[in-house]
Amino acid sequence: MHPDEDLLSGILKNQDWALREIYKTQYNPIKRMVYAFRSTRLEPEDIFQEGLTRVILNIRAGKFRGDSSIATYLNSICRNICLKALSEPATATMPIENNPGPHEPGNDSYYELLGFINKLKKQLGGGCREIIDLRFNHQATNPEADPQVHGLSSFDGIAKKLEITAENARQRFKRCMDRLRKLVIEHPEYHTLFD
Amino acid sequence: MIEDFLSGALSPDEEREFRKRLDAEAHLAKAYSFRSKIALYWNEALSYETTMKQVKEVVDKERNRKRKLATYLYAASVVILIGVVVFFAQQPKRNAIDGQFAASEKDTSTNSISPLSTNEQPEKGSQFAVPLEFLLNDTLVIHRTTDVESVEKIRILRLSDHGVVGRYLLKEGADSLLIPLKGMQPGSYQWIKAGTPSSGDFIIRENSMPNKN
Repeated sequence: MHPDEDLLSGILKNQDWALREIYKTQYNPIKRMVYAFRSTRLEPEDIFQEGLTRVILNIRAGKFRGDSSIATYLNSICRNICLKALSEPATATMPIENNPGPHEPGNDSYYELLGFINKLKKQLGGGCREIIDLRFNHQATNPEADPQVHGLSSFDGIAKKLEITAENARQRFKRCMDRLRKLVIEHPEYHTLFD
Repeated sequence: MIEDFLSGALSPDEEREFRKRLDAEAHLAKAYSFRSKIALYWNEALSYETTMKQVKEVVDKERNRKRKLATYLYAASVVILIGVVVFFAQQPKRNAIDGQFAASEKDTSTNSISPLSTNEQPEKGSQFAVPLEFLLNDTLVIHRTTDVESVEKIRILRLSDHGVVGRYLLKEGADSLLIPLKGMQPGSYQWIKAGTPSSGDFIIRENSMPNKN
């Protein structure tokens, strides 16, 4: 049995108390570690939030093997975030070719990519985001679908949800996908990622 | 077409045709590649964003709780500090007042009270603010304020209605003024030296009350 069994179970069940417990016991050690880098570019709270988010997602994705405690795991992830941030020029973005490893859960570039996609969602605006969310999230139009299985929602289902015609839903989705692709192609770092 | 293909809405012939076009048309192949890859990450990005929001909420809540607690502790320590300062600031005053009261005596041989020349009452509310008690045949003795040589005007007020019951002069050269209390009604009174902060409360009781020594 893992010494952090309760915490692991709390994280898997999406219970807030587990996150509070980690914050209470681990925030100060992480803050000290970040301050030890003596860099004004590193904000302990941001590093902690990013690190804890990655820990949670890795645990849920089964990437945490349980070889170490959650505290050690969080510390090493936060340390990597710091090192990565310090290795990059303050203003320029890193060319995609230099990114280490593939975009898989558990590595830095994967989470950077997810962060990039979330930025794109904001740029797209609410209307586009909604229809793409609906199309890519089968559960959104079909609550009985297995949440673990990502399937496509039919345009009929989307149309019903948005109270428009299926053809309108299809056209709106296409327009939004074109805008999304344009945003990606215009991006200096990720323009070749989806080729 | 891409959407129909991905949804499995194409007939076998249409599907074959679509695959051929994918091989032949670079533009379509790129669009298809983009469409398949972005779908993979879109939902994971949503889960990343949701988790990040949840973590941020917990962190913000805990930080605010910590700040609130720190504020309470800070306020409590300031109150305690003020209390300690006030306590120690009062200490010498209290000692002086204790000394005055210890030295106060009732001159029973002459039937007059001899409060010290510094017979100002301590602040009200203090546990030492117990007015001196007199009997009707006692004499109130008001001594001259130190370093004041001119005439001092003294008034006696009845505390129940703040009415002036007597006005006296401590003449130049005299060290003290004797005020016989005979003829005054039992009750609480205050003597005040006009133009100075010097004053004191006293009580007059019936003569039948046994003397306090």
